[in-house]
Amino acid sequence: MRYCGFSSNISENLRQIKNTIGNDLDFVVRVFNILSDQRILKCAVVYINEMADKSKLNSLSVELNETILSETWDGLSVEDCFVKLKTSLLCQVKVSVKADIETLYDEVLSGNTILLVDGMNQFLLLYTSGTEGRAIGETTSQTVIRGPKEAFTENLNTNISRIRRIVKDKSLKIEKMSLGEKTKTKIAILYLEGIAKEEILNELRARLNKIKVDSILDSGYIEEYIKDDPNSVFPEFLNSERPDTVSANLLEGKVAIFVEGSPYALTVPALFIDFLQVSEDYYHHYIISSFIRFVRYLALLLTLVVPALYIALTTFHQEMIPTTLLVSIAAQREGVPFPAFAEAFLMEIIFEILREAGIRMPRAVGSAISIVGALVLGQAAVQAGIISAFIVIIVSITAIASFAIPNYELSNAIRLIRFAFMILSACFGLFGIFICFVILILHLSKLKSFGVPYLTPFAPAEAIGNRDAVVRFPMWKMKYRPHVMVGAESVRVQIDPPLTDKRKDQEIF
Amino acid sequence: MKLKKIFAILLSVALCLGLTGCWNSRELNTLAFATSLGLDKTDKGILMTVQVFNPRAIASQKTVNETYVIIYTQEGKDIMEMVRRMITQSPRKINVTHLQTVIFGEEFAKEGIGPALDFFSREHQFRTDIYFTVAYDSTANQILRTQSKLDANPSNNLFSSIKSSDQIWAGSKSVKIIELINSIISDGKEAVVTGVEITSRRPGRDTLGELEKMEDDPIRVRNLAFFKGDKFAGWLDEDECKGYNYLMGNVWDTVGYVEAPEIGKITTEITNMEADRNVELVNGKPVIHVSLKFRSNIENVTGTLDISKVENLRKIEMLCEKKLKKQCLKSLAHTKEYGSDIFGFGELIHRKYPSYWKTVKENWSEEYKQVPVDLKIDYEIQRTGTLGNTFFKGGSKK
Repeated sequence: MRYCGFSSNISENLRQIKNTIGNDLDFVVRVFNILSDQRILKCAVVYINEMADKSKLNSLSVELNETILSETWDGLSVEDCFVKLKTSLLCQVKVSVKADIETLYDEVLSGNTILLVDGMNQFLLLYTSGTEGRAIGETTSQTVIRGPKEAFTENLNTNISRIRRIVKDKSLKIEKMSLGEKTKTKIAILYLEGIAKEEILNELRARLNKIKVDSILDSGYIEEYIKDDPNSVFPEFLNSERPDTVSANLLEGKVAIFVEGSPYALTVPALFIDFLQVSEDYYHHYIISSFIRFVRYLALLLTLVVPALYIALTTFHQEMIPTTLLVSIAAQREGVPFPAFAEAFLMEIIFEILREAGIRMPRAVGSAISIVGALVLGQAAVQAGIISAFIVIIVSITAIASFAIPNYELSNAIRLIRFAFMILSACFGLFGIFICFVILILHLSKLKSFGVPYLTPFAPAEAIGNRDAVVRFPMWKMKYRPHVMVGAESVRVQIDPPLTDKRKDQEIF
Repeated sequence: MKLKKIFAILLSVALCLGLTGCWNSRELNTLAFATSLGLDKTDKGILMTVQVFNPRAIASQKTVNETYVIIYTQEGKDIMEMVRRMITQSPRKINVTHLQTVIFGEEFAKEGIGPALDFFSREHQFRTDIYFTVAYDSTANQILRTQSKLDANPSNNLFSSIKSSDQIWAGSKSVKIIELINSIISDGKEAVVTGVEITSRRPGRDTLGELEKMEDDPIRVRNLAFFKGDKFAGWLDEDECKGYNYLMGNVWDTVGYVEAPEIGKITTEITNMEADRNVELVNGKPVIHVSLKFRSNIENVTGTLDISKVENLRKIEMLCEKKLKKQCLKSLAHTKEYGSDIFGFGELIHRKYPSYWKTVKENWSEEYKQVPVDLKIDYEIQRTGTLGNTFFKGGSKK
């Protein structure tokens, strides 16, 4: 496109805008005149229908009409008229004065309105953008029993305002930028000044600025571009659709990234333990939460190794199975035509297909898949003697356990690694499982999320971080924010438990 | 650089492969799991009987027209060779990792069980919790050919019997491989092995039709075989076996009764015992001191004795002491006959008087016949159960 500067001739400008943006269905140009004693001042309003907020446009046009009709325009220069228009519209929307034609295009395309005045080489930019988005709804993928139910939406400003509503502190800083040559997706970085580490922030800014791409359609794009280890299947950004989770992370010194159009906010640095924590952990009693967390870690282990253990024990280490259990497993294996590995692999793959189909299929055919999945694959296959009943139990345990991992990304990673465990256990038995474990732990220890070791606070061991890892300590014991994220000792809780022993012994009634 | 890294990883994984020891991948349905193994002496050498469980029949929810176990037999000279040769008869490889009991025929045991034990301890597949038994009044083959009732798998039946009788009944003794080998190889101690017998032998016992008709479990743990070296020497009966266990301090829990005209019949449960065994040289000759302490509860009272009186309890205790002493002395006398020191008195001497032991070591089985044993028994009744005196003091109503 040939660059054309902004001229002072309104017809010239309008023609140029029309040529560039195209005279489409939604592109609106309204021309009106301001009459004064000396001349007719030609003005024009340019906006894109449906991109601009209707109510704002309405109030603007009323204001504009009133201004044009009731004010006296006699004896004013063009510049004075321009300023007068600006001041009168200011009470309705935010207004600024710009002169760059490229800015004009950007702003019009993001839903703002332009007011052109003949004879001025500047224009008025009226911030009228406001898209019609989804209303704030309930969380769909990260549900809780107790705790706030609202989720983020696709609208960036709404999302930021959700955080503002929770963290009402002046130290909450927001930096905006836009990425994507074509999509010009708005991105916001949120952090608490003084708590978030400056190094992490600078690193994040630097990485974001390096992204040169035509489109950013979801926060997943950002994650893939700036991840520390792009080839690792483990997530290094915690994605959340919950404002309370993001706020809690901000308060721990993490940095949140919001992307326009994505109801999932990213927070960094994200550690392995973060993916096994749920905001609800902090809303229940600490002993109960600790138990539930333990259950989650157990589920992680189960979904990782149960099929592999089954293969290893039944084909290599029969002596490790108690005799009575061996009898029942052996009885079920009688007449099954596949080796244990093929059987397990087949069923796991089928389950993965079932799961994928369950997500993608149209809602209306939902019940069909459960019938086919449960009845045909489970029961009929066992009765036909193609697979043993035991493997159905194994696959079910694995599947249920994988759903107990609160983060979908981590659950995906574990599901994938499970197959590696199965293959190695089929080759080397328990020995293979341990090789896999060694490789897995080496890999996890190597990972970093924005310079923070992934396995913190286990490796490197960190006492303060461990108060909120597998076991959740009572709130008043978690006095400091995690060291790795905030650097120096940063006090979170000021007091010891408010109810002292002495107070408890006192009789009130 | 990257290629080097990948090569290093592959190399380290490959190197690990050498460290795994013996392993092999075998599907469950290509294996036959032996749970009992019997060895008998025959004219040709050894008759080996292997009891393999039939998982289909055992785990089945419905009654199936199949036997719960399958018997394979081989005759030959070498145990391992026979195990392998069984593949000619069985469609699946015999896997012995779940072996629970080994039964020696009496004749086989007389020849010496040492070579067999070497195999059971050397071969890596065997567990260490296998129970060893000697067939009493029958052959190992006959015992393995019986079916069981309560537990579908006869080996399991036998295994549980041996295990629990050891705990709640002093009249038997379970022996696992480590203990057995230890007592065979140690100087001044001889081995014992529990006996098993077939309670009733009806013809056709091993057929399935007969099994459905019968009500009793045909195998029971009975008597204790004692050895001299690795060779079977003789049998201790139930009383002697109890005596043996008392003298060894092996008892966890057992019951017994005393009967006398003045007290009627009193049953007591021994809940705790301690054995203090010591040796002393008197005039250059060893004297064994054994003092046994029993704690017990009264379980049953028949007769009119007033057990709320302390002197009556003392009376019971005296009688119990007498009875226990008799059992102990009986087992001592029996083993002295054979010169088989199953109590490990020689070991006691070895520990306390090693120089003296050297002089008698070679001839210990003869010396053992002469060694005096000083037995002290302290029997204490601690509780009388949930009742005081019995309700039925007056006998029948007039």
